[in-house]
Amino acid sequence: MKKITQNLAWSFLILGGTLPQIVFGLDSEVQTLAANTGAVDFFEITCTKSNDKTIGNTDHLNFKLIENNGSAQTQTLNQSVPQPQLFNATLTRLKLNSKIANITASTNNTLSLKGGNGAYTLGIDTLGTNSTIKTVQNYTIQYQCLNATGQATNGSSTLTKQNIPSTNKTLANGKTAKYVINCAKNAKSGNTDSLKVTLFNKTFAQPIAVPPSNTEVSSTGTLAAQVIGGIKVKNTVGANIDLQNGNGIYNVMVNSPTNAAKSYHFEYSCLNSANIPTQTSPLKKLQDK
Amino acid sequence: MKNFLFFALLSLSSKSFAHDFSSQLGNDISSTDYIYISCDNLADKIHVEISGNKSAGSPIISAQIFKDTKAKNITSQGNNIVDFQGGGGAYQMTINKNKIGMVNYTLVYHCEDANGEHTETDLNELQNQ
Repeated sequence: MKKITQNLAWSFLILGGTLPQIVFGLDSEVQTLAANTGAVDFFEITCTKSNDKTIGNTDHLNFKLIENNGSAQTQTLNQSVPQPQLFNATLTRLKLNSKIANITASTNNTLSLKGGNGAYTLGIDTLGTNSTIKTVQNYTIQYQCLNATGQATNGSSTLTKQNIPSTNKTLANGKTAKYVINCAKNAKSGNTDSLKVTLFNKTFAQPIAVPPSNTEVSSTGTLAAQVIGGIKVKNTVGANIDLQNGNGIYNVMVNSPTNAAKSYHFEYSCLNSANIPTQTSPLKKLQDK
Repeated sequence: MKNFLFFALLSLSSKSFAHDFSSQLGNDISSTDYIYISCDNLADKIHVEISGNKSAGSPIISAQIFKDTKAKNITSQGNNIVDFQGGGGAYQMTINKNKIGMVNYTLVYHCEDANGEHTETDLNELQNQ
C-alpha cells in the first residue's frame, strides 16, 4: 500500500488546478545487472530546454531506482521507439483537396494540389499523436506556387514569403491550425497550375512514457545507482533523488555492492524548477554488464 | 566535520608514483565523494584499490571508476582491486556506501604504462560528502 501511494505521488506529482501538466516518469525498461565482478550498467540521459517557452530550461533530473522481484520479461516496451508525435496536413481549394498523414517528429513531407490561381487553405492537425504527450509540437512550413512546367508563379501568405521557411510554429496536441496561401499569375511564368507545400515537423521525439509500476518493490539494497551531472553526483539504493545540474548530460551507473545479479528498472524525468517536465532524450545505454 | 587526508608517496623509480587517498563518507546514505584522476599520455591503465571497515554490519563502501563509455565497480568487502584499461586522460571515480552511517575509506591508485611502469598521476576532488 505504501508503494502504491509512493507511485501515485510520483505519477501525479504536480497534478493540480494551478499547474499545466502531469508529470510522468520515463522508464528505463527492464534491465539486468549480471553477477560479474565489477559489473556496472552505464547510461546517458540528456536534458534540454522545453520547446514550450512557458516551461523553459531543465533545473534537475528526478531519478528512482526500482529492483524487480518478478521476471525480467514482464515489461517489453522499447525505450528507443519514440511515441507517435505527428502532424497531418490537408490542402484545400474549392472542392479539391490533397492530404498527407503521419509526418512524425523530426521528419518532413510535401503535398501539392492542382488548383490553379486563387486561395488555398492549409489545415494542420495532430490526430494520431499519443494522448499522454502534453507538450506542444513544433513545425515550419514552406510553399511555392508553380506553373504547369514547374516554374514559380506568384505566391503570398501571412505565414511567410514564398519559398522561404516560416518561423517556428507550435501546435498543442488535439488542436488544429489553418493558413491561407494565395497563388496568382506571374508576368513571366504565367498562370499557377499547382501549390506545393512542405511541412517540417520540428518536434523533438519524446521517449516512451510508462506509468510507474505498482507491482514491483523498492530497492532491497542489492543494487545502488549513482546519478552524475557536471561535478555533482548522488547515490541511491532506492530513494527518489533529484540532481540539480540544469540542461545537459546526466550519467547513471547501476551496480551491486554485493556483486549480485539483479533485474531492475528506473524512472527518470528532466524537470524545471517547478517540477514540470522539460525535454528528456531517449535513454542511451553506454555499457551493459 | 569530515577528516580528509591526501598524500603521495614517491617510490624509488623516478617514473614511479604510488598514491593514497583517505577520506570519510558522511552519515547520509546518499553521501558520495567524486574525484577524478588524471593519467598522462604514457598511461595504459589505472590501478585502484579500496579499503574500509570490514566488520559485520558496517556499510559496504563501493567505488565506481569510469572513463568515456566504460565503467567498473569495486567494493571494500568484495573485489576491492581493479585495473581499468582506458589509456591516458581523466578517470572519474565516485565513492559511496549502501547504508547510513559515517565510514572511513582509503584508495590506493596509480596510472601505469603497458609495461607496468607507474606514470604521472594527479588527483582532483570534485565533491566531498
